[in-house]
Amino acid sequence: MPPLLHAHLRVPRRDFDVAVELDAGPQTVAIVGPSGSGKTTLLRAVAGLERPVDGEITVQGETWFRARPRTWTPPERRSVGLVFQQFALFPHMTVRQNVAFARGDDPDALLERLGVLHLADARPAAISGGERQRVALARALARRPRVLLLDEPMAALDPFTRQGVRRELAAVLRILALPTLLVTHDRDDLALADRVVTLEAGRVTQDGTLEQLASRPATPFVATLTAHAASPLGSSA
Amino acid sequence: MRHVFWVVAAVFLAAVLAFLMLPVAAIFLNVPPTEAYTSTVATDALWVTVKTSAIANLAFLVVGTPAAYVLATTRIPGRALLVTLCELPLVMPPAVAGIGLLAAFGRVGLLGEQIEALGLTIAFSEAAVVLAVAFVAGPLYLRGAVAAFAAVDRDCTEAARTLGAGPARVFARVAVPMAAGGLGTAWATAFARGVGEFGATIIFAGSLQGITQTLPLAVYSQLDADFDQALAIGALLILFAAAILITVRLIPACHRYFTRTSASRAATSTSP
Repeated sequence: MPPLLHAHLRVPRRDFDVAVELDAGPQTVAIVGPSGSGKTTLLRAVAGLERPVDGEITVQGETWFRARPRTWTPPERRSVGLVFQQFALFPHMTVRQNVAFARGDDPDALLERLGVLHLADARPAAISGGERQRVALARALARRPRVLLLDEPMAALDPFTRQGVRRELAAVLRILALPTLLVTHDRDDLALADRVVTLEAGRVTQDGTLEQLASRPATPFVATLTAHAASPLGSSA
Repeated sequence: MRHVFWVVAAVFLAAVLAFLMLPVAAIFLNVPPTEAYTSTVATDALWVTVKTSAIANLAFLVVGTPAAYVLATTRIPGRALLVTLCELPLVMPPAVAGIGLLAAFGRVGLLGEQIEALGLTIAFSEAAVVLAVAFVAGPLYLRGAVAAFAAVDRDCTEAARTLGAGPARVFARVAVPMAAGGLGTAWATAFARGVGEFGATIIFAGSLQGITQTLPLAVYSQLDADFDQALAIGALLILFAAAILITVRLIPACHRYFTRTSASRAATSTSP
């Protein structure tokens, strides 16, 4: 059975090319790597916000990008749900209007599902970081995306909030069963992932479960990442 | 020694204020702005100014806003050169702008034949005033609008794309509302510049009462004929300029105030 998401792409950066080949099924794949290793570039390329120079991106058999013969689907015609690091909620719209902007599912039903319906008439500036994260997730899910892209979705939250939000996100991801790429710097976020892909200088250096990575780290970065793997992931959150 | 410095600085400040305010005070002490309404020269000039400014402003708002968005958000080759070319009229002496417009749109100008073939005459008409105002004030709006769009959080416009919005909807629903404060300030500044426009207009449009004579041109025309009238029209222009200046200062403050007020109101109503 072909993967739900197949991304094989090359995006030139100033210092190096981000050249990644990645397949994902209905699972959460954590993309981990040092700063500037190309994690966000990968996400942006799948979303159509970055144009690769080579490769192919297909989702459920539909080609969104192919270098030869040239195929390009603009971001608005791709079915992705992207949650930005700082959530990128529209400040001039209410929470409900933010979700309704996607012209997808009933905004109130989505807000209720994520426990923030009581904030529907508030503006993003008036709600907390954790609430913004839930609104951003509700908005990303409004168009029933075929791929979910989370760019460090917990980075803007304080450690205490992060813990609760991580639990809620884990539950949502389990229910959705979508190919999900989760870019993270936080080792505790790996508890959300079925698989971990490490990215260094634009190349995939290892791909597997955290246990597989911990048992045979391919690079010093992976060794450092998994050094604390003796304790169950997420327990330190 | 420190006291001496502050005393000298205060004297300099007083001198600056006196120098800047003396001509303004002199105008208002000589004649009230209501005096302007007693002459047809002033009322005609006011009507020409309002009409031509409104058309010119509408034109550069409609055309300039998307143009500024393109300049601010796309990575087109030669972007810096394009921005510089758009800003050139800002540093061009007004007389040069006027003669340039005449050389471009006048009867014997670059496009003169084509314009005449359409049965139109632009130079020394109301249309010439509109073009002159748009030429000198439009770039001011464009520069401010480019800065306002550049300040919009790119994540928000990109998020809008991933939510199914095409470029036009992103522009109208996300970029323009988010840049509204900066766009408003840019427009108010350009509007004030357009109302005060003199050099390019007198060369390209002349000073025909009721047709091309705007308020600044009316001040000039009344200098010899009726000095009090010139002063009264001047007072009217000062009031107008002051209103614009206050608006420019108030727009960002109002934007901040209303955003904060609605935010805190929502916070109060949503807090558990």
